Amino acid sequence: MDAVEEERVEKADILRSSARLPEHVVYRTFVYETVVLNLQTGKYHGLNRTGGRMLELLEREPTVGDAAAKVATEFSRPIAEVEADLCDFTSDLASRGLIVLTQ
Amino acid sequence: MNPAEAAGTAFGLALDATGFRAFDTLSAGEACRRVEIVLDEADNLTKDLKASPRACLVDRRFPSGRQMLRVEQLDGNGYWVAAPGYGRHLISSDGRRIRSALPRVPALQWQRLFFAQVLPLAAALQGLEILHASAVVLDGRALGFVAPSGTGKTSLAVNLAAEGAEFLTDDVLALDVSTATPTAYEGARLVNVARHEYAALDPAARVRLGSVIGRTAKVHVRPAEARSSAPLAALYFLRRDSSRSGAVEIRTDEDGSRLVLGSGFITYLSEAHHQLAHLEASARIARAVPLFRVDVPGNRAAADVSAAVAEHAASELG
Repeated sequence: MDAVEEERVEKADILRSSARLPEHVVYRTFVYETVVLNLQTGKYHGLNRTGGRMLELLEREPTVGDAAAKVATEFSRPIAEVEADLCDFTSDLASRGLIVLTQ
Repeated sequence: MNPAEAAGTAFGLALDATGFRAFDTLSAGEACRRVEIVLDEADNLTKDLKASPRACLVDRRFPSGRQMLRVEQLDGNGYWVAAPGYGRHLISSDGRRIRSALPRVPALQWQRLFFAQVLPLAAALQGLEILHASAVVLDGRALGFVAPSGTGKTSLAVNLAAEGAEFLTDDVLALDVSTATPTAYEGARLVNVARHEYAALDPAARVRLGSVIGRTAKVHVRPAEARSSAPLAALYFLRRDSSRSGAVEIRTDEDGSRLVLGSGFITYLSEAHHQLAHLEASARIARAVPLFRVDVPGNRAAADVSAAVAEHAASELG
């Protein structure tokens, strides 16, 4: 499998996944940003308004793909573009331990 | 507790301090919580400290290595706050009871630790949000000034009070964020003013500020009687830039959430529920109150900053 195909499969896996916040991760919406706090490490992470809305939808919708559809509608963006962005965003949050992806 | 029955109020706490040493730096104002304070022997406190597993949270020392301040968390039994020559205190985990052993020193000395560390910790443990800020009340609304030590937040508050604002607190601001608009509470009725700042005030301004109750390296002033709480109308974050000259600039700050998060006074409470409470309180403050950045050129005196803030508050806060 070449790198492009590998990326496509990985993206499809993420879109089918469910994203949930671990118990030790909380977030609150401020005026201009959303702040995510890892209670185990005491570290704060800042998200801009779009990132904050994405996180809300990731937590609320059954799958990352469902969240992408909502984001595309709300922000009037092409679904393919949003899916790519949301997959990157989701992978980044997961690598920081701020969300957990389950199939 | 009826505030009238209390020894006084500070940081939103009514002090039930029967038998405790008298305070001359409290007012009989409003409070939203209460705390019982009892005198005890230093040996009793030390015995209880040593009997409990504990973790050191703060170990602040002078350059010589001599202890300045020590805060420890006792397993299940609250917090130990001590400073040589200033007193030892055990604060219950819920912040409702303080046992204090006081040294035989002038009141102003032991009250420095009591008001700078002990009562703010008790207030934080009772759910009040404690910011590293000074504050005044202007036209019935509280304005808070947040800045690192030495940046001029006390001088700003003093100058505003000298021009007619009501002095609310110096260095430690207690907020009740349980309501839509946070309520700001007064601290001790004491402000420590740099001698040159006090000397720069004209005689009428000194009278408006309050009465001098002592002098050390600073002038200790008991501010004129004022209201003990007010709705918080704005937070100003001061930043002094010695490389810049010109006017004091005040603008809305879109990074305000980080500034509020970073302005907590009790930074050593790291348990999850304390972290969560600070995040929640910061979010509420940022949503309810406008946040402004104040850029102060290095050559500007406190009176210039005071005039700029007063003008800004009058025009921007309605």
